[in-house]
Amino acid sequence: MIVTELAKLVRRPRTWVSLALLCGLPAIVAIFLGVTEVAPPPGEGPTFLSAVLSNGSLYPAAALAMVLPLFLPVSVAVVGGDSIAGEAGSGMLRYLLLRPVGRTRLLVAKLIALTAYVMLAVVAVAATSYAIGVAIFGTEPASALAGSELITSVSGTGLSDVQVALRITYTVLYIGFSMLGVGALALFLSTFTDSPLAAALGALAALVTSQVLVTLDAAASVQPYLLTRYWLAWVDFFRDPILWRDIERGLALQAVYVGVLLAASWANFATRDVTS
Amino acid sequence: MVRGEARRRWLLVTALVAALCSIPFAIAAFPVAGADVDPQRLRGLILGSAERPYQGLAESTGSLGIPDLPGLDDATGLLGGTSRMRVWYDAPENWRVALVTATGERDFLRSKTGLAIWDYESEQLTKIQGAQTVRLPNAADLMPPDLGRRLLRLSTPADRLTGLDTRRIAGRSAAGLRVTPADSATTIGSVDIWADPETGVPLEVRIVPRGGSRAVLTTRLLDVRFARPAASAVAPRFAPGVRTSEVDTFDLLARLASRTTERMPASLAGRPALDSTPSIASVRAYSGGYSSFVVAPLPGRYGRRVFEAARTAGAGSLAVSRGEALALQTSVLTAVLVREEAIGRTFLLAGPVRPDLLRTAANELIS
Repeated sequence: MIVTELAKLVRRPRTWVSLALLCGLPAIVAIFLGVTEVAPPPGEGPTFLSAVLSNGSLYPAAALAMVLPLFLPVSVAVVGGDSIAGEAGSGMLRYLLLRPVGRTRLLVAKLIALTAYVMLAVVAVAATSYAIGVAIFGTEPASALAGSELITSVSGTGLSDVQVALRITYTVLYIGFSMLGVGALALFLSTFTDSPLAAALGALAALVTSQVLVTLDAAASVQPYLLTRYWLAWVDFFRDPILWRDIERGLALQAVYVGVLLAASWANFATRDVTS
Repeated sequence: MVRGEARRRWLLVTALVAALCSIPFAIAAFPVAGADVDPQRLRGLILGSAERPYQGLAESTGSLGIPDLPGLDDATGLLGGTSRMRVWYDAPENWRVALVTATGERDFLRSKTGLAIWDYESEQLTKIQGAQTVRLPNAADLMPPDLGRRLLRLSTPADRLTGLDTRRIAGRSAAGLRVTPADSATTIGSVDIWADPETGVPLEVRIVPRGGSRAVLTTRLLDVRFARPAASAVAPRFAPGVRTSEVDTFDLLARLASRTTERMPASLAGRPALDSTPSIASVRAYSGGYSSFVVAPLPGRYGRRVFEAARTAGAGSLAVSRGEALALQTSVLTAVLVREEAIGRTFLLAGPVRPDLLRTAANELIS
């Protein structure tokens, strides 16, 4: 069942189209930056974009910062929303369940496929942006530095190539895990409807609500529990020393969301009347 | 059968959600260990805590609502919003405070040689030569231990000192005290400080306006560890080649103090200039205690810019005998700009005091 779902994910053209679109935005930005050599000043525009002009090895972090607010959650919500509702909408769910497999197992298989998509998307963005960044900007030391294979951390200290690679790996894993909450939400909504679009839009509506509340001082009391509250904490990997507090909370919060939403998906899907 | 099964599963999920949601409330309701300390003793402990090393993360929330004025944006932003600071405190002259933002960082590094400021947004390390007798507030001033000690030092024997209930702050039981200023000229209603009863290090500070019940400035440590921080954290080695500059004054107030020649009087509104500022004759602080205020002359064109910015920000007119005055008032802070057009002089007077006191001082300045 799991292999079947993974194979289905790989075979679907829309998987690759969405990945291409995700990787396309950083590529377009890199080309513009490379041609004009006009980067936003530090603190403005996407995070780290200012630092990549002379060192492309940091471009994966800048690329992830570009796709994190919108493109990445949208693509994950679309794939998550399609998980069950897509099968129901195309009339395939009934036939799927005719096979001697439990609904819980099907749900787990869908979740694993979704997780695979999320990690594939994040790794694809990081890998392609690294290749593009190095090709266009090179790997010379960042503009502020001289005679050293370093880039400057947010705290002003130097980071070696190995440290940069390690911290980008942490970032990829953290953002990937953060996206699982969106995916689980879309998957949960997907068990209620036969329309993948409705499930994806429902998840995005919840995300937009969360994003608005995160910036609202009046909502300070609920902010630590909002789905998107700790998404930007990945920047803390690039401080010196690393600030773990929000990263730990972000991971714990996503784990709670994923756990609760999967339990709710299981409660609904396992006893739902499947008519299509 | 299926309906019963569905009910059972949903009940299970509901129980899971209820259990998870109750965790924060359970932690908040967990009784704090008794840490009642006599307020006078706690005051002494706090004032003697400057040598205690610690490290952690703090958050300050200000709602002073001061409008942005040219050259004062950093200070007004700090006092009117939420800021997060990391701190590695080794000794009064050896510490680092990092103002952490979503996409950047500004580090204040204090050592025996002076203060250095790393600003990620300008990719610049600025070393400040000499001591800054007069300067604008920065993130390091909002650290609860520093702010708590500073506010307590302003208290006088006439101020009322009372105990507050013990609270859990940064995972520790913290003993509290409240200072209620006796001076009716100040707009500060009370200063609440909670401190670690063993070390005396303040963990949370609140400033409540007179007649109000909600704090206009709260700063608290979210995490704290009473251990000497690593030398590499207090004084990190900056990346080779980082752009570095050296200046003798860093902010606007310091520049005014060192570069304006206007001499401030020795007393204003019946209040003497503070002893700590005799060497800086151009920017002076007056009186003592919680009703201190500062006076700074603003040079010609810049003075006019600030004056017009205050007018645009909705400052109200203040009647003075000569010239023109504008008053910006928040629940705690009052700022008065007074201008004497004939000779092009503009003064800024600011402090946690009632406007009538600043009006008297303004009248004396331009008379």
